[in-house]
Amino acid sequence: MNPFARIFFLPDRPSEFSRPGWIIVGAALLLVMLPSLLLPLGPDQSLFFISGQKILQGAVHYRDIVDVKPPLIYHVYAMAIALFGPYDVGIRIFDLLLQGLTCWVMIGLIRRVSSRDTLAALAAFCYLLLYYAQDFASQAQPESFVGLGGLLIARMILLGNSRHRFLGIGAICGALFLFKFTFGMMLPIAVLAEWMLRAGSLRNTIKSALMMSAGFIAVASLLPLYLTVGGAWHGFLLVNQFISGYSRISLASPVQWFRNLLEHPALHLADNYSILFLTASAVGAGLSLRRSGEREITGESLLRFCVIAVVLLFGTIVIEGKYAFYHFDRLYPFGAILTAFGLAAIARLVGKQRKNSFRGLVMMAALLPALLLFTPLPRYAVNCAVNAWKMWRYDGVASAVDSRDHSEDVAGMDVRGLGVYLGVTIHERGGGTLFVASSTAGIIYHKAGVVPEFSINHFAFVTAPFAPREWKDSTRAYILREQPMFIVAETTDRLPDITGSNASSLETLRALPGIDSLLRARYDTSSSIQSTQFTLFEQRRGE
Amino acid sequence: MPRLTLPVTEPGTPLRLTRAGWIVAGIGIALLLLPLLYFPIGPDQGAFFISAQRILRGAVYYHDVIDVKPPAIHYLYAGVIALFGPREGSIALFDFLLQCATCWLMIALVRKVSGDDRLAILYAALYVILYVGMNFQNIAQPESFTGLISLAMVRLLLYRRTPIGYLLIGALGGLLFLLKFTLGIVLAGVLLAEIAVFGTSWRSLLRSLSVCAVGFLAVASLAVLYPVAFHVWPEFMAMRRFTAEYARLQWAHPAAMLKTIMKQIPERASENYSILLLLATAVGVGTVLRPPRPDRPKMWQLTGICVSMMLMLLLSVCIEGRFYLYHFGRIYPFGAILSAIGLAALVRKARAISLRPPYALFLALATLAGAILYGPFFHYLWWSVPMAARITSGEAGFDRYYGRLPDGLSRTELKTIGGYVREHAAPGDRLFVAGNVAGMVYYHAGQLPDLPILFSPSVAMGSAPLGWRNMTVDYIAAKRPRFIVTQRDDGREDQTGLTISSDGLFRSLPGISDILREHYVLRATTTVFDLYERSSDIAAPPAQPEISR
Repeated sequence: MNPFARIFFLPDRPSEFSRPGWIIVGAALLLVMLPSLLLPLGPDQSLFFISGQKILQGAVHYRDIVDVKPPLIYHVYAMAIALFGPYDVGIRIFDLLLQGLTCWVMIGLIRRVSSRDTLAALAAFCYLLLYYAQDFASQAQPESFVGLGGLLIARMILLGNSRHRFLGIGAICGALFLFKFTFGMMLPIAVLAEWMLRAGSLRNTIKSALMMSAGFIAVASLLPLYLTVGGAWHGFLLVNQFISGYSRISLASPVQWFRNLLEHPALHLADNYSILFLTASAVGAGLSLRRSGEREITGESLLRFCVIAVVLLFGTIVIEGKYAFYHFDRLYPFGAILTAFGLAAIARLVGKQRKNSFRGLVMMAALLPALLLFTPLPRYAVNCAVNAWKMWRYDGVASAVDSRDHSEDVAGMDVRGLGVYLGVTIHERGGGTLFVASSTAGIIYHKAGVVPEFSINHFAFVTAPFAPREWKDSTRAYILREQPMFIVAETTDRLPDITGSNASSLETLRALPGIDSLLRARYDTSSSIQSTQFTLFEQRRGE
Repeated sequence: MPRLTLPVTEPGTPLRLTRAGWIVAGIGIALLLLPLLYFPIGPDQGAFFISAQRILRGAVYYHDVIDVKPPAIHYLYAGVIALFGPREGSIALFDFLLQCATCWLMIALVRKVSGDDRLAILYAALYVILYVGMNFQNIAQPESFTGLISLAMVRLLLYRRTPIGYLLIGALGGLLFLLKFTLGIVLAGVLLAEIAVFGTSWRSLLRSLSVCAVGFLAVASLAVLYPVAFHVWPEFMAMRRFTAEYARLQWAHPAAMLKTIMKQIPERASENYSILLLLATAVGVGTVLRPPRPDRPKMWQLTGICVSMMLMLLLSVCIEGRFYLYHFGRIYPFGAILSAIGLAALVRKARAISLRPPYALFLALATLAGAILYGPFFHYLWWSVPMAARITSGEAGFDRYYGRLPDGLSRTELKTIGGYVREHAAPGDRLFVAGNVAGMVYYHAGQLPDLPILFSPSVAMGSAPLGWRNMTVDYIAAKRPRFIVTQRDDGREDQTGLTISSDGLFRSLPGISDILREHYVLRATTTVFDLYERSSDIAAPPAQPEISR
């Protein structure tokens, strides 16, 4: 194989699709991704965004930014902002490129192991459909990188021959670990897959596992290095103190923990992942049991890798115990491959039905609406295409009031409208400081065009009873010292699952010593914003 | 590396149980059904129960008793109360017997069709696990009869394809129609099966459907004959207008309804039906896509009929547009057959697999864990706990278990409110309840309502006859019942299109607030209920609320 083909994972086997065929497939995949460029950033992405902006100004994660995730996602956002500018669409372009690359690797891998271009295209289509059928807040998360990393690992395990590839596999696992610690599970996945699919003996497996671990440690050790160089150890330890309390919430009641384990994944699988894809994935997993030749790498080998990855990555979701929809993103690349193989098998079965003529047609006609309703397709239409159209239709308006008029159409518009209003007001007044106490602070800062000076953005870090005392004190001290021109506090963000408390950000803010009296003495409640979700405190003129 | 090879069983090997085996299986199924006997009465059953008691005292449906459902279920409850007595245990016992009969019919049918006793038992067990897993609010509903009646139709469709058979099929369809109008859709399932499964010619199809229609009309016409015979035609028509809007409410915005369907069906499917059975059902449906095996054509036909029935019944759930758990109960008899067929096929496949041990073991363990976690078993276990509580801790443990439920279903609150009325009511004292769970309150208080309609937010709907509200006002003004109970948390937009609670609605009726203020004293308040007592009946000065929120 020539070097170009090797780099881009092109197959050395004849292609099912001609060049125009691939152009059409590529265009169709691009078409699925394009509406996402119009979507806004959700609460998490906005936090990553403003942290990325701070990093570009020289901030160090854990020292100048308080958040639970490891540093890599913030630095990747910083890179995306540097590359594409400080706009929502910049992040969306970056995510589109990332998912495009993931599809590229997926297609290349499936073509190599199965020689089936149709399957490869179908898998990529299924993946994009699953990924973009979620609401806009669930994309461009650390989970979005699992596909690329995991599929590269699959390729190296299934198609690689050099022993050095194990170092590379470990390095990718380490990089994923730096996106989210639980993604370190990719290392056991790689070791298990190597043992079950390639190594053949325990001795070989141990050797390759050691090499993978070396690669993993080499990359993962960038974290202590970063902490040392950036002087962020103290902040890191405080975050870990918070994480231990945060983790205990879901484990506080074993019965509730177990009920969550039973209910949430089942709901997500049947609803977002969809009944058809779930069935097709099960068929795909069943196909992984088909015999293949000893040591021969076939489509079945890839399916087995996907089954191993899905099972163990599902374990990481259970470990995290939060079950937000985006947590399931990590399963999609592997689920999509299983789905594509399963759908192809189901299609073959249905295809044979033609021979049974009218009877089969009647039954299929009856089943078809049910199948169409219970795929991610309608969800994609609603969550991605329709929302993108709404954004295109409404988002150009200048005033916050107009934005709020359409607040019910796209979730988060109320928050975005408030952010825009604050940005415009601060600009009109020739500057001013803003402090936001909210679980959606990132969106408000981002839309206001303000890069916060203070390290804590998500107010759960203050609300949680188990949050370090230092964070509460520093928040209080910052507000008393700086007395920002605007203070926004959310009144409805009671997040017991995250904070272990039923207090809203406003209640927490007022409970900080000296803050309530400050607000009474020096601030007015602004009547410019008619929001049931937020209270806006505006410093009295001349104060 | 050694290969793991499991023994291969010839697919579909018939297995007949011995008499002892059947006794064990029968006891097993009965034990699985046992938690039903320990289910308390729920909101709907409470309403049926109260209506049935009044019917036994000579009330005429549509005139003295008004409800959205057709009369049949109320009369069935009346029969049950006449047989077993006016206790909540009577309903549970009847439902237990009904489901035993359903299982018996299921087992007989699947045995006859497949010649495989294991499959028949697996099917019955799955059905029972699904049915009991719905919990107490969702049993003994009109849907609970779907299994018994529609499986009898399936049996006729398979083995009695004569004019008499079709006449009986139509009559049974009519019976379901009388229990709930939308359940009549099973006849559309029969039609689909005739076309898709039996490949009936147009001429034969027309003939058999005509006979079927005759049978259906013969029974279904009772729905019209009843109001004529009892001279309640205007009330019947008023009710029809009301139910038409009640149904239309869901479909006012078709796009929103489509989103609801997309959301609710997977949610319910994953919740009670379970991921495991969902997948097994898909495999069961898949077997229809294969040509029938020459040695077992009936099995293929049964599967096809089940798919047809399930699709049509699912459609009826969507038409109703409410998506309560018990609505899905109508699908369970067919879903259980399809999932049993699917599970059996999966087990056969799994046993025929031979591959290298590490991956096979990994997949087997993962599948087993998934099947246990995401099967219907935990739901079943969860709702079996009250039975264990009653056996081990007696009535107190049972009440404690159900004491935590929200939405006016807390047994502690119901017993407290009901207990107060029971304790203080003299002969002739009346109780009026405004609430979605009015039937349960009346039951626990040992009282019967005087008015035909159970007052709830639905009487405020635009299509609700004004007479319902007026008669409530007149009744309160004229009769001044000694006790009035109102529910504060039952504003259900999905049911009525309104968010107002029974309490709010009741107070908004002309003059009611004044009457309450001037003639009643708030005697008790719980999380969701307020209990008022007529001041003139209270000897001592009005006490402070006795029960804190």
